Amino acid sequence: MNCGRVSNQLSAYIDRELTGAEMLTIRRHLGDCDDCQAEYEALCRMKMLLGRLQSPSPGPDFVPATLRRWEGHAPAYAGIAAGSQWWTFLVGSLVDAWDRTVAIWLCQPAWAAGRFSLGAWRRPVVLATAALAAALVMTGVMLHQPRHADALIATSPLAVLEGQDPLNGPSNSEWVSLSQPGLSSPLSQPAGSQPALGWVNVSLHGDTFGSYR
Amino acid sequence: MNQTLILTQPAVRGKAATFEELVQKHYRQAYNIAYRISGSATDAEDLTQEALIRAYQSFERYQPELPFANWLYRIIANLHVDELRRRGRARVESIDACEAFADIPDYTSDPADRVLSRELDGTLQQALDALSPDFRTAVTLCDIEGLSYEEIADIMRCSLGTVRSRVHRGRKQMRKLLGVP
Repeated sequence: MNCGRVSNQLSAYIDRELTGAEMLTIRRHLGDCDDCQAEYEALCRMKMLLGRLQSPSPGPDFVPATLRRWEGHAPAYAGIAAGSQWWTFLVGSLVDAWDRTVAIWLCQPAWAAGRFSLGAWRRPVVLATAALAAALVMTGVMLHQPRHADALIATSPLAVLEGQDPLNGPSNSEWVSLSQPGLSSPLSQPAGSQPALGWVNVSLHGDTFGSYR
Repeated sequence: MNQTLILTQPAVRGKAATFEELVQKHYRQAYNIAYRISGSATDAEDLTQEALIRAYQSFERYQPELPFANWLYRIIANLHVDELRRRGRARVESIDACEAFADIPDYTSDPADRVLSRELDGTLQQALDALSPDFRTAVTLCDIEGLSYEEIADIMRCSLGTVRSRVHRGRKQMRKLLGVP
């Protein structure tokens, strides 16, 4: 092996990144060539100097500063009531998803090149998403309240009194529902009442919502 | 932003705690890399913080076969290159222009000399700064961090042959700059 080829492989030889056969060949050449041996020793010295460099330490505020900087990248949860955790989670998740989508799919190439600042878009994106999330949540809350009798029957345990004439039945306060504890029978009637045939009242906690025949 | 509010929300508290753990575990080594390849404490802090945040946010892209620290170094190296492109200038300087380098003393004769060590660190860092970004990164990862050529190839996304060439040429340039006999 000539000196040119050996010289190009000296660093890999020092770092033990050659095959066994190559290592042996170079070792033999170094034993016979003073110039290559001198270059080998110089490169070893260079590697040693670099390896003994003191590791620098960042300032004492580095970790807190990093966390603060990360918060700047985190979803905008500020302003949400601390007690509404599910509400906070929903809004935060929507904002986070939107933020990530914009950052990754639309802005990353420019962001990586440093030509685009996501911060300029953050406020309007966050506000728009928060408004959308609020509208969705309010709609869900409203829809959760059953308005139709069918839905009421399907979702709530009720007392269905057969044969009771809704027009001439007892007052609302005397109806009971299955949700009350101690009820032994699924059907209970107000004291002293005689149900009329063919009518069924649907009520919940004393409020009658409709009559069915 | 209300930090207390954020940290008290269960869905977010987990994320914040995890990110802080990530920072505590990796920031020193990451900062060392960033400092050596950027040559500036301010740039190194900025580089390290941004890399940690991006690593955390892009964790779904992390491939487990690569050690996490190496993946973090890759992000640091890429960010540094992007920053150089953004600034529109390279860190490469003519070797002939580095006239400030004096012959370094025989460091091995008194390794406990702290004054000599500090001077040497500064001189070595100047020599590192004079290298091209690729050579500087390769030499830093190999000689300062002690990574293998294969790990360096993964980080720098190049072939083993390219790593071998960059390490060798980087060392030779530094030897010439420092006048190492």
